[in-house]
Amino acid sequence: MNHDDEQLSRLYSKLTKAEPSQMVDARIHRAAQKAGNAERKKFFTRWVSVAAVLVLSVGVVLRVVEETPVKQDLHDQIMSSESKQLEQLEEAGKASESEAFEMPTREMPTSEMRTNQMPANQIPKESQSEPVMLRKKVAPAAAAPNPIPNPIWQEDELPDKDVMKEERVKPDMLGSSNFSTVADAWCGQDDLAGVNERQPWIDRMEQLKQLQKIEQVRCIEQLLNRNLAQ
Amino acid sequence: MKDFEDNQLIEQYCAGNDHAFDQLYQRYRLPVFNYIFRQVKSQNVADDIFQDVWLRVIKSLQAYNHQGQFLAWLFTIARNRLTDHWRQQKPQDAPGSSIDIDDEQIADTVLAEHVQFLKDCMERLLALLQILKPEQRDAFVLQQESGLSLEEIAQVSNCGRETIKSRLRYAMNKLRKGLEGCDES
Repeated sequence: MNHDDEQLSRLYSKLTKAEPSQMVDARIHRAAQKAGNAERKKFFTRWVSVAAVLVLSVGVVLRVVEETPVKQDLHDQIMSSESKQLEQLEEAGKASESEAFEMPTREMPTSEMRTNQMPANQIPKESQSEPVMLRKKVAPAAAAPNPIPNPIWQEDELPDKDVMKEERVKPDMLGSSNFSTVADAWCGQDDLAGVNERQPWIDRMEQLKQLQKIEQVRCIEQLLNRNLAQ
Repeated sequence: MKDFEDNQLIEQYCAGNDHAFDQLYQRYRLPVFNYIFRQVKSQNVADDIFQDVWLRVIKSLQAYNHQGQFLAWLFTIARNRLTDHWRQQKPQDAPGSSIDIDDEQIADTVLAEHVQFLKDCMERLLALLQILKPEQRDAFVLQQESGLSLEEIAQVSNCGRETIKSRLRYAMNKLRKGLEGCDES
């Protein structure tokens, strides 16, 4: 800056300085305070929200940590009880399966034999009142049935066990096509063998009712209900 | 040192100290207002622009990066606001737009007209300022009011250092010519 420039600057600095109006000063101060307050509020809100999130997170973590052993215990308990139940069910299932398969073949012919041999009024009440066991029933493991010799066959005529199993038809898997076979085998109605229609069996039931052959009636009735429901 | 103080005041204001802003405002209130006023020539218009400049400053202070010089940043905002003002004006109201003839002729004419009415050199200077080309006046007033260096003025004006230097040289020459005889003032 040379001498002339300095003189010019000096002259300029001597110029009367204009000033903004007081109203403008006041507005600017107010705006500055307002902005500062808003910023402080934002700052405060931000930290409060951060703190809240932290507290919530810690709470959640603590809760998860507290609940995890309980859940694990519960899970273990449930698992152990379930495994026990499963074992029981398996055992019971085995028992009932063998029962379900064996009971009709054992009992029905037996009862029929009995009913054939003795008059209806002499049939023991036990056998009259007891329904034929067709459905699987859950039996305690200890109550697994002892093998009962099949009275239909003589001991020396007994077929191989595997063959017997193959020949038997599971009640659960009964279809209309093999209904007469099962009914014939279990309820002793061989004269209706091959009849898969409902009406002849109902007629037979009426006849049996009149003859008071209750077990056979129930046997056919249950087979009909089960089979026709499918 | 001054930069540091400015930045310190800004930090204090951002931390919630309103007095820090007051200090900052008092420090640059007159330079900024006079920079505006010397160009718009109207107190009301200067008030409006000045208020708008500081509102922009307040709004932007929270995001202000302390790497640059606050003064240059402040005058950049003021200059941008002035540019907006000139854009909003009708073409005939734009500074210096009514003067199309040679600068020396203008100076002579204006001086001849104004000298009759102006009593001292300062008034003559004010009159001369009004007949300068807008960019020359802007550069001159900016330099006088802010005390920024050529590089900083170039940065504020968004142009090269040599351009500013040239504008300032032209402005000084015209003013010196118009202010002949005022050396002792």
